[in-house]
Amino acid sequence: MVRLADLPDHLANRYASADCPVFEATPMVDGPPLSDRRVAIISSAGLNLRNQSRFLGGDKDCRAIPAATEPSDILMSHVSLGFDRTGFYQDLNTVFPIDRLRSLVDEGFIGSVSDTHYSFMGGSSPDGMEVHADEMVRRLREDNVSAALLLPV
Amino acid sequence: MSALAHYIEQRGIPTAAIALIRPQAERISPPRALWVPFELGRPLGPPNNPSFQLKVLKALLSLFAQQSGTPILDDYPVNAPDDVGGAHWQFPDFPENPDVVPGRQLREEIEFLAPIYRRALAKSGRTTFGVSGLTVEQAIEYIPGFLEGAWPASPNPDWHPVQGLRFVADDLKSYYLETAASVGGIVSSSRLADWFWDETAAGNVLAAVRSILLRNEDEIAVDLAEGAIVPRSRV
Repeated sequence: MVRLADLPDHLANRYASADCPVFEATPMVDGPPLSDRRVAIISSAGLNLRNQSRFLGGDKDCRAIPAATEPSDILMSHVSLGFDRTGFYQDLNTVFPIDRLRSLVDEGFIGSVSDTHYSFMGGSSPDGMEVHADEMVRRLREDNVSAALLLPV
Repeated sequence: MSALAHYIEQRGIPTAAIALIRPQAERISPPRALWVPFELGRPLGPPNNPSFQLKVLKALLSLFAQQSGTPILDDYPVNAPDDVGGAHWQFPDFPENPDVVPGRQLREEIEFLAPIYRRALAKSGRTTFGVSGLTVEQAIEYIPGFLEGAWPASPNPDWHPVQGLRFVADDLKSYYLETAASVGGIVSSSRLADWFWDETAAGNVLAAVRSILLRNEDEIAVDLAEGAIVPRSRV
C-alpha cells in the first residue's frame, strides 16, 4: 500500500471525496495535565480477539481489547483491502500501540494506560455508530479514561 | 474516525485523532487531529520502529496540551523512513517441480514456507493467522471447491461460504507475508505485495477464484469477490 498522495488519481480522489458527515459545532473537553492522563486506544483497524466474532461488511459495533491481551490473540478481520496490513503482521504497535503507551507511562509522559481499548471497523459511513459509541464511552468513563486516541487505517 | 471523535468528545471524553486523509479531517473537523504523511494502514509509521512510533504518539498526545477553543488540525512534518534495502529484498525461490500437478502448487508452497513460518513465530511469539478459524491445511482444502463450482460448507455457520473464503484468503496472506517479512531484512509493503500476488501460487489461485466468483449469480459472492479477496489495486 502507499500514501494517499502516491495513489492513482481515481483511488486518491475516491478516498478524499468520500461522503463525510458535517457537524455544526466541534466539542472541546478539557482534561488534566498530560502526565496525569489515562489513555485509551480506539482503532478502526477491525481488530478482534481470537474468541470474538469477526467483523463482517457494514458492521458498526466495536470490540473490546483488554490491555493485558497477548499480542497473538489480536486478529484483524476488517473487510477492506485498501490499506497495508503488512505493518500489522510484523508489529502490533503499528495500529495498536499498547507497548508504546506503556513506554510513555514509564517516562512520565502520560499517567496511565486504560485497562480496556476498543476497535471498530472503519471505512464506511459512521451512520449507526453512535449507539455503539454510547456504550463504549460508558465503559471508558468507568475506566477513568481522560484521553482517547483514535487511530485509523 | 473523525466523526467518532465528535461522538466521543460530545459525551465528555477528550479525543485526539490521527488523520491519514487530510481532506476528510478538514471537512469533519474533529476536536484534535494530527495529519500524518504515512501510507494507509500505518497510522504511526513503519513497523518495528519504536523510536519513530513514539515520536508520532508524542506529537498526537501533545495536542491535548494545546489551549484552543477551536478545532486543531496539525501536520506531522516528518516522512516515514525509506525502506532501506527494500529494493534488494528477495525471498528464497520456491523449489521448482515440473511434475507437480497445478493444484498441488499451493500445498508445496506451504510445505516450503512452514519451517520458516514456525521459526518466525518462535522468534516473535505472535501470529495474525487464524481469522478463518481453520488450520493452514484446512485453509488450503477450502479453496478448490470455488474453482470447481462446488462450494464447501462455510467454516462458520454465521458466514456465507464466500465470507469464509475471504477469511481464508486473509489467513493465507498472514501466513505468507509474516513468513516473507521475517527473511531478508527490511522490506517495503509494496514489495511484499508484489511478491505475494505476482510470485506465489497462493496469489495466483486467489486471483483465479475471484475471476470465477465475479461471474456467479450470488450477489454476496460477487460483492465480496469485487473487493475483499484481491485488492482493487491488483486487478
